[in-house]
Amino acid sequence: MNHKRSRLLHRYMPQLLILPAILMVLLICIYPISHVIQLSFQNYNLLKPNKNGYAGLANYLQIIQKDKLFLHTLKISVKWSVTVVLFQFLLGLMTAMVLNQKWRFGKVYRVILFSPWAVAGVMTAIMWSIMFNSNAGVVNDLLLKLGILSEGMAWMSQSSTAFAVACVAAVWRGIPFFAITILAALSGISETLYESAAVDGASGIKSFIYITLPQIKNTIVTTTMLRFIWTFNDVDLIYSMTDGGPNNATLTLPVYIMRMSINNLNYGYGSALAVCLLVLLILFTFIYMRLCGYGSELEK
Amino acid sequence: MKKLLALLLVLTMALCGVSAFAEAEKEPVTITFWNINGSEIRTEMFNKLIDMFEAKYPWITVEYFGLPFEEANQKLAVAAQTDTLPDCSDATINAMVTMAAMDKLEPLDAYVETHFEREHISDSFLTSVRGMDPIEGRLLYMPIYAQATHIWYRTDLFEAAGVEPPKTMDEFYAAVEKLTDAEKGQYGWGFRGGAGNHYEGTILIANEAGVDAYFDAEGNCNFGTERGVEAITNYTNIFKNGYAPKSSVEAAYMELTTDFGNGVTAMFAHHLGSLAQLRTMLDDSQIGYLPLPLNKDGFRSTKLDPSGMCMYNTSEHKEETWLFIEFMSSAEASVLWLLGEGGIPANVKTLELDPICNDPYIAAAIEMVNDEATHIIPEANWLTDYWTHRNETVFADIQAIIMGDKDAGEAIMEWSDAWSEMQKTYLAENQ
Repeated sequence: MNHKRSRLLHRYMPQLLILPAILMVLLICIYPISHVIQLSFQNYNLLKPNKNGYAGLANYLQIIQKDKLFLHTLKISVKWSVTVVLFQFLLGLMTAMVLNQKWRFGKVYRVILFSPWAVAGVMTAIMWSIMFNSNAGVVNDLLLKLGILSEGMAWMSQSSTAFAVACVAAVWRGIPFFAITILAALSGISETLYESAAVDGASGIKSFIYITLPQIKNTIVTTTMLRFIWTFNDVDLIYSMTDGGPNNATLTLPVYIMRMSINNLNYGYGSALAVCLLVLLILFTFIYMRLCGYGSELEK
Repeated sequence: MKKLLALLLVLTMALCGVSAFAEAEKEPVTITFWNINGSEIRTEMFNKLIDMFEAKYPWITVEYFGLPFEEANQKLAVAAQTDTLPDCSDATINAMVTMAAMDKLEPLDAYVETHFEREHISDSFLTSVRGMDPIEGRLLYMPIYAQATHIWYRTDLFEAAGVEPPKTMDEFYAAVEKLTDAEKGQYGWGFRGGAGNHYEGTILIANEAGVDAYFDAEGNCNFGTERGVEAITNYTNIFKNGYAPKSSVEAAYMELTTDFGNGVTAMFAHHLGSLAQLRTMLDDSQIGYLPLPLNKDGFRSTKLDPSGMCMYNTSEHKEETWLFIEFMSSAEASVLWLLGEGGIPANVKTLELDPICNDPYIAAAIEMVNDEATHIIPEANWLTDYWTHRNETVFADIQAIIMGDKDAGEAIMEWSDAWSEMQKTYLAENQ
């Protein structure tokens, strides 16, 4: 009997061990998501309590047929995520390559370069807003002293510059994430591969293309995908820095959802927008992983 | 005689003792009060008021909680939804519209009639608050003071430029131009293009366009006219012509007051609520009060926003909460409100008290409101979607216009159509 119990325990041990994690996920992810999906089919506006109730597809139809801001915010979100992740990745990769060399005081450089990752989004927004302030900002001051500008520029008052400033802040904050993860992947590449390539006469660029990149490919795919999703969902930085302005030029879909739900108290419509965002990001993840052939080596 | 006096003294002391005993016997009650704009100045003001109240009613303790202004509406709405509202809060029209829509406000009609200074409470203020509930006309909060939009001007900059305070809209635009010296970093007008740009924007447009009511009897909005188009074009051209700082697109309340205090701008539109802030930067001799200039028809339009205190219908201590509201709307307390907030008091007895009776700005505001040429436009607070539309669409449109991304005339016609639709729906639903 004891033997049978022990066999059963042994057999189901993995499931038992993973059970707390599954329960946690159900509690903090599945329940809120299912509640949001349920709300998305309802009129749930705190300002109109008498009209609340089941709405069917009305919220979704309004998004597709009437809401001009939805497409606008979607475009801004894509532009924002691609720009930010691309620059974060390129600069993070460069940083990781540099830090992967043997340097005197290398650890000190690493700590300094990784510090932006520890700064909260709101703090980042405040810091960069002050630096780009049209009257008292250090950026205007420097550009004026260097003679690049003849008068102070109102960076946050123009669509293009406000978007660029928000991107600069986000890129600055995100570089360490790529640098840390790519650096970890780089340190796992065997030196013998580079030595063999050098014996065969491969240049530095060729070694980078044919050895380094394939070796860190899975890390790149995972980090860019994660970062894209996080950046797409980013609210704190844009909300604190521009609040989606001027003239909605930096209004991303998550900030729009927040405006609808939190500011306008229209939780039904906000939930429908959130479900659209969720579906879009799941689709993106699926397509991106397929296109990049993520995990194909494992299948082989 | 001495014996009689001694007897009287003993009797008086005994009565005082009995009264004190009776008060001490009252069961202690704690009520909660939320300040929906927890700025430093207001927090200090409420702490003083609460101390005064607790000294007067020792068995009542007021638990104070300050909310950040930007999040106050959301916090109140969530509290309303989860039945965790306080007993009372201070009240602005904007916040009260939400609470009224959620049916969370205790009507104060019966209470106000028992107010110990009822004869001094202005009936026009009560009528104004009752306008929020046009169907039943209930008093959904207690008005304490009201703000009327006007223009602040820098007397020293006007003097230096040799410009007289403008009385008409034509004079106003001429003054804005004359006071601008971009090379010196000085501009004639502090243009609010950032958060809240529509608060003063719509009233300045209404004033110039000669609008003295939002709607006609059929529910058509009065903004969508040729005069309206001309007014919004002139107003937004102030920025386009370079008579306002380039950073105006992002300028909200703090930027407006700071620019004014630093001499970057010579004028801006607001109300007495910014006076305490301006006084931290400037002397009274530099701050001038300018009533809104008269339009072509010879009148001015402004709005009068009553603020005060409300009681939530979920309160379990309504009697004590009313005592707090009654005290807060007394003349004694209104003095502190006005010193912190500025404004025109609902309790007219306040105007007799020092230092309010000597405040030239409050006197100027009262003069403007009572001027025959002044028309007060009530905001369309009864329309549930009105503020959402203003906060979203009108706000973004004003930015789009000054950035050159949208035509001013097209924008005002769209607002007018949207507000007409809301009003017509409202009229149809409530006939």
